[in-house]
Amino acid sequence: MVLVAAAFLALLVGMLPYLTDRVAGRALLWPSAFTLETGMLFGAVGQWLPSFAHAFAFSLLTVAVLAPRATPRYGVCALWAVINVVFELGQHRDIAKHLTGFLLNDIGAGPLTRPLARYFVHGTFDPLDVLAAVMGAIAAAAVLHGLAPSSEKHDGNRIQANV
Amino acid sequence: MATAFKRMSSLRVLALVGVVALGIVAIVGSGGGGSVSGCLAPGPCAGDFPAEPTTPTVDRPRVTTQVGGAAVFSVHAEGIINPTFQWMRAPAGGVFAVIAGATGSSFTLNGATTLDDGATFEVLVKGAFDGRQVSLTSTSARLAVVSSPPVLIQDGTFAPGDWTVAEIASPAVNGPTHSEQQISTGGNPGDYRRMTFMMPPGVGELTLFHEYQAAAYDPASQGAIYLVDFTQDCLALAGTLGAGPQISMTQSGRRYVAGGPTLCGSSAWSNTTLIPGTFAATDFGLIDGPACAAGESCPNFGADGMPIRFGFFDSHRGSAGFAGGVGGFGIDNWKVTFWRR
Repeated sequence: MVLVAAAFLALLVGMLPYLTDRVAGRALLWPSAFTLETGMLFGAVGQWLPSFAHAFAFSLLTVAVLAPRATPRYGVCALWAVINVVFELGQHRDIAKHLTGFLLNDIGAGPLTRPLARYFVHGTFDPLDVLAAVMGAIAAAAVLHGLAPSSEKHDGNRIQANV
Repeated sequence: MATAFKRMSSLRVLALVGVVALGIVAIVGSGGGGSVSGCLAPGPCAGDFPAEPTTPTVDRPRVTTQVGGAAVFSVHAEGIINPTFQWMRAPAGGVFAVIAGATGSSFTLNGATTLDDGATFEVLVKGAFDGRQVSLTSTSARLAVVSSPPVLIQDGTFAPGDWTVAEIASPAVNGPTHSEQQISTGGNPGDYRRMTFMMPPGVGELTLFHEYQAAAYDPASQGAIYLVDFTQDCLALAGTLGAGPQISMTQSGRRYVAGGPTLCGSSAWSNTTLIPGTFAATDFGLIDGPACAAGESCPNFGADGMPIRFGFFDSHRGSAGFAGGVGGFGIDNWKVTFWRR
C-alpha cells in the first residue's frame, strides 16, 4: 500500500509540468484543456521531472503487484530504467529515422506503430531525461531498500516481505 | 521466468501486464518531453501533431541563368521522414516528365539552353508523415534562360557615404530613434552595415529605407530588366525587437518592396532564406510616394523606365500597450543581379 501511494504521488508530481509548463497539444494523452501554460514554473526541473517520476513510480507499482518476496526487487527498477532509456534514445534524430522506417515500412502503419512512430519522430532526445530516468529507478530501489525489514536486507532465505 | 509466472496468481499476472503496458503507454503518450523552452517559443513545436504535411517548397519560384550556365533548384520538405525525391521538368507549355537520375533534394541543370527557357520544375516527395506514407508534389520553379550577361550592383564594405537612410517615424516627439554604422570587423567576413533602433512604448512607427547610392540601374542605357535576383547576409543583434529586412527600390520618387522578410541569423550570419530571391516588376509593391496612375507601370522595368536605386527596408510598429524596446541587425554581402533578355 505504501508503494502504491508513493507511486501515485510521484506520478502526480511528474504530471505537474504538463499542467503548467508545457504547451497544449504536446502530449498525446494529455488533454489540451488541462494545460495552463503558465510558463516555466518548474524551470529546468520541468524538463526532466516527468522522466524521473515515471521510472520511480512504475518501478514501485510493478513491485507492488508482484508476489511478496524476501529481497527487494532491484531488477524491476533496472528494467524500468532500461525501458525509459530505450524510449529516450529512440527519439535521437539519427535513431528515430531508422526506427520510424522500421515501424512504418517493415512492420506496417497500424494503430500501434503509428503512435510509436509519432513519438519517436516528434519527441526530443534529451540526455537529462536519460539521467533522470536512471536516477528515478535508483530512487525507487532506495525506497524498496528502506522499506524492507532490516533482517531481510541481509537474509535472502527469509520469505517475508511487507512491501 | 515461466516458472516464476506459474507461481503467481493469474490476477497478479494480469495486474503486472497492466502496469507494464500502462507504463509504456504513459511514455508514448507523454509526447517525448525534452526541450520545454523550445516549445514555449512561437512556431512549430517538436510535440505538435499537424494533421497534414505542408507542401514541399522549392527555395526559389524563379531561377534565372545565362545560356550555357547552371541553374540550381532545391526543395524543403518539412516533417517528412526518410524522404525520397524525384525531380520533373515540363517545357514551356508542355507536360511534366521525370528527369532521370534527379533524385536528390537539390537538382542542378548544367549547360542551360534557350530550349530550357520557360521550363517548369517540380519534385515529387515521398516519405512518412505522422505515421503514414505520403506522396507530395512540391511548389514549382520556373527557369528563365537569358542570352545577355547579368549586371551586378553589390556592396560588402558599406562605406557610410555609399548609403542613405530615409525614414518614416512617429510620434514626432520622443519617438523612435535609429543609427547606422559601418563596422570594420565581425562581418561575413570583414565590414558590415550595422543598424540599431529604439521604439518607445505605445503607438508608433519606424520605417527605414536604406538606399545604395554608389550605383544605380538605368534601363534606358543598360536595357530593360527581365528579372532581379537579390541576396544578402543578415545577423540579428541583441535586443528585444526583431528585424526583417526586405529588398527595396526607388524609382521616380516612389519606393517599393518585394518578397517576405529576411530571416536573420541570431548567432551567426545567415543568407536570405525567407525571401524567394528572384523578382519581376510585378513582385514589387508601392509603399511610399505618389500613387500610380492608371496605365502606368509601377515600377517600370522597361527600356523607357527611369533609373532605379536599390537597397533594403525595415519596418517596426507599436500598438496600444506595446512596451517598447530596442533591436538591431547587420547586413553584409548585399547584392542585386539584373537579368536582361
